[in-house]
Amino acid sequence: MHIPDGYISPHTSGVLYLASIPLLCLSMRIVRSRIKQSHIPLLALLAAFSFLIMMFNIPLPGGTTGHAVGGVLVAILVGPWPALLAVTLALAVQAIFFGDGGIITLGANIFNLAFVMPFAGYLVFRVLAGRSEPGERRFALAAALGGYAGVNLAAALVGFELGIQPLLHHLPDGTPLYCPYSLSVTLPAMILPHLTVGGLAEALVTGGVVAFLGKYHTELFSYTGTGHGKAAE
Amino acid sequence: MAGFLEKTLRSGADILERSLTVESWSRRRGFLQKTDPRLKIVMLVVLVLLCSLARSHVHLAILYATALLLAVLSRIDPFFFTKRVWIFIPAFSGLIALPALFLTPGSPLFSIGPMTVTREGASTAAFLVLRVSSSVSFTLLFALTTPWNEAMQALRGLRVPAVAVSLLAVSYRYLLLLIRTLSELLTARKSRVLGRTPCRREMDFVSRSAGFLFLRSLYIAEGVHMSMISRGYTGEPSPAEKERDGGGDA
Repeated sequence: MHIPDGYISPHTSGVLYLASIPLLCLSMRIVRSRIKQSHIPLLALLAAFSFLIMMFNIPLPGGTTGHAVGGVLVAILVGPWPALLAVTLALAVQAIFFGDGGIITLGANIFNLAFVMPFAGYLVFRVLAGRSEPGERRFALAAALGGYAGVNLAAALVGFELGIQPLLHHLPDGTPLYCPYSLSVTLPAMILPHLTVGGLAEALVTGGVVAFLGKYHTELFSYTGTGHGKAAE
Repeated sequence: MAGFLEKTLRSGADILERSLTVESWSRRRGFLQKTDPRLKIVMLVVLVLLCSLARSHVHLAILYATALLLAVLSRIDPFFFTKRVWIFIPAFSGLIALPALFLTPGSPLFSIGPMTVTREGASTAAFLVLRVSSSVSFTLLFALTTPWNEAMQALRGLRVPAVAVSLLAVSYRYLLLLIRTLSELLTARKSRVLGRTPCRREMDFVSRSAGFLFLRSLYIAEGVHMSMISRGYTGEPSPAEKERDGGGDA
């Protein structure tokens, strides 16, 4: 779901960079105040974990496979603020070292996948999980639905950012300079695959990992009043 | 048809292969390899920004030709470079650009069966493909000619906060380690299983593997933290080599 360079204008990406930078600074402050040990190895390893989740092929019913983003999973395991930094790092490593994603569009990718997706998914998870305990069916189901909601919201946002390009940036003769399709094409093109295959992959991996860790490693989910896992403390 | 194990193993092998490829190309004595990495970062941002801002096909074609020229001057095999840019990376962009050829209303250019390619459609598709290919070419040139430790040192030289540089460096280093761990897990699984397994069991395996990788990440993070402290880490990374300035950089 990464937007590569060239699909959206630097203006759109610049606005999203400006929106992401204060969020990253705030998350760094929150993480520094909450994590007792040096935060560098923990965040770096969480970033590597996020990268691997993005790389994993998820088996789906019918013999097909899909990819997950994993932003909501990391948010449920360590809290949304460390997740924002971890997913941002994973996206930056992909863009800088492997040339995947984009340099100019990194701001947009951070906003969509590292901020909106984990925070929205985590909120849905918290509401649906209620007072359920790790290892309970409801807890894992809430995680799965959080993953499903998070990835769909992020997909809709990507569809919106792509779809506004022909309206904002075109030559005098009307030739679009970036993504050539309007909202009536980009929104369904992004949302429909994520309501089905992408959302299912995200829900299965988020719910599955939370169910596994909730059953065998309950200590990871010692939630505090602020709602983030002990793994990040 | 390849299953999820084979596809994930292939993705992991591809990333490891790409990290090794970078090491081999970046050791050649070409133009970009000799250029100060700080200058390369500034050039990368400026050139990708120019690709994003260009409003004519000619300007985009000139930018793409510049990327090709830089690849040749940097002793990167042009066939390898072109293949990497055109076949693997923007294959997706090509698929997205293709419908624009037929769907964009305008004056007919030529017909393929019942489908008519319009002049405006060709222009739109060319914008997208040229813009993405040029941007990807510059990013790839930077990645191929700059070892990760030099890139990190250059970011520090450009006054990027030390904590951000350390985070990027440690993430990259341990990403490769975790990919090896995952590949071992998947290979062990593949060697134990014959034939097809039900989707539910496959999903259980994925959940357990991802859960294990998460626990492994926490375990490694704690070990890295302890080893950093024992080596006198104070919060400021120390570069392995001194920054270099050469006459060629001017």
